[in-house]
Amino acid sequence: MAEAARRRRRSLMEMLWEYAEEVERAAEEFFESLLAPGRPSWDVRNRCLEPLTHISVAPDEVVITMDLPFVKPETIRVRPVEEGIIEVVAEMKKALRPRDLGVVHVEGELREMRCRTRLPVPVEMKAMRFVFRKGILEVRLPRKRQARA
Amino acid sequence: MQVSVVEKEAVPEEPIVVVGLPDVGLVGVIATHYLIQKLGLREVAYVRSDLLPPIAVLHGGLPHSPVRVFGDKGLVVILSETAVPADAVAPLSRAIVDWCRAKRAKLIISLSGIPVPNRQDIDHPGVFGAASLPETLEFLKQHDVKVLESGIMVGPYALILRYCAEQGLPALVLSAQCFFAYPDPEAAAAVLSVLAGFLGLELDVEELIQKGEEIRLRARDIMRRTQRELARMRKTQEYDIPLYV
Repeated sequence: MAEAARRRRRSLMEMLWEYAEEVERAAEEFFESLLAPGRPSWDVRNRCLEPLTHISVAPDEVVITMDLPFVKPETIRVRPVEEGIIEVVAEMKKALRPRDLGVVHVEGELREMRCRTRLPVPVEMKAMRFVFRKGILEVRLPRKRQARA
Repeated sequence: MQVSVVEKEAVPEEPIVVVGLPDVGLVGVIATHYLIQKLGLREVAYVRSDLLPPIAVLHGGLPHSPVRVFGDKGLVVILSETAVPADAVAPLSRAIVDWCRAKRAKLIISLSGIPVPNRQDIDHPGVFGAASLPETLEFLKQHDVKVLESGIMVGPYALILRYCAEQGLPALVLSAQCFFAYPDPEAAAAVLSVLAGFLGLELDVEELIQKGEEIRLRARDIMRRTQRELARMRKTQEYDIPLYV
């Protein structure tokens, strides 16, 4: 009897364990779908490439960096487009074809690096400053006082 | 076997093996790709595994495994053209080490990056090393490579080094200071310069630096996917301050 009860308990634990694993897998897939919305990093309709971006939130400021290879530094524009979103646009040194990047099945031209980035916390947009060094754009935005941790 | 190395032609024993897998800054991938091109190495084997993404990499219209082995004249280079899923890192690392042991590899050298937050302030990335055995550590010191005395390594290189240590195989990791989230051809050039010194190769890395922007453009997508896998591996632990020194 005790052996049977122990087996039932074990089987229940195994079921719970499998269920937990399944939930974990589903959560991972969900976050994966958020991270990878399934669109390419280039867009021939808007003639642009999307740069790699990294955001870090410090106690006093938000720092956004972007890798902007092959752009004309003097053409870089950084501006707020709506509440909590900034847009970065920079012209390429020369127009590229998708073929130049190994995408041989699409015709068109890519003339800009462009992206919109949502800021994770409220910031003082008017105090935004940016610098471009070694092909990396660094945008610094002070956090709004009441939003700081 | 979850992962196996399939030889297309017999790979001679006792090779020196260089490994370039996607990691921070894509240092190993950029460096090994350049090495393969410059030395004109041919594909001699590939990795077969259901744990890798279901993709074929097309070259000249023909399908290839995303993880391939190139070689010639006693040098073997392993290169992955896709981000290695976090779940596949351990089996892949194990398979690479097992294959190296079967081939009685003389030395296994992983090319990698070590992320530094102030990378933009560094003109010439420094190269640091770690080794699987005291003798290989001594080899690093003889070549004036600064040793990563303490800290945490995360990812395939960490496992390759550990598995090699367990099996008594001579292995090194060469890590150049690099960007965490962006492809870093300068860091790749830095590790290649040290590697060239080890192997007695005449390798001009200037072209790699000159083509840096083009490489960064092309490498954006593999970097993006690699970032996702690095997050799953908790790669940021490499920034952690070690408990004991």
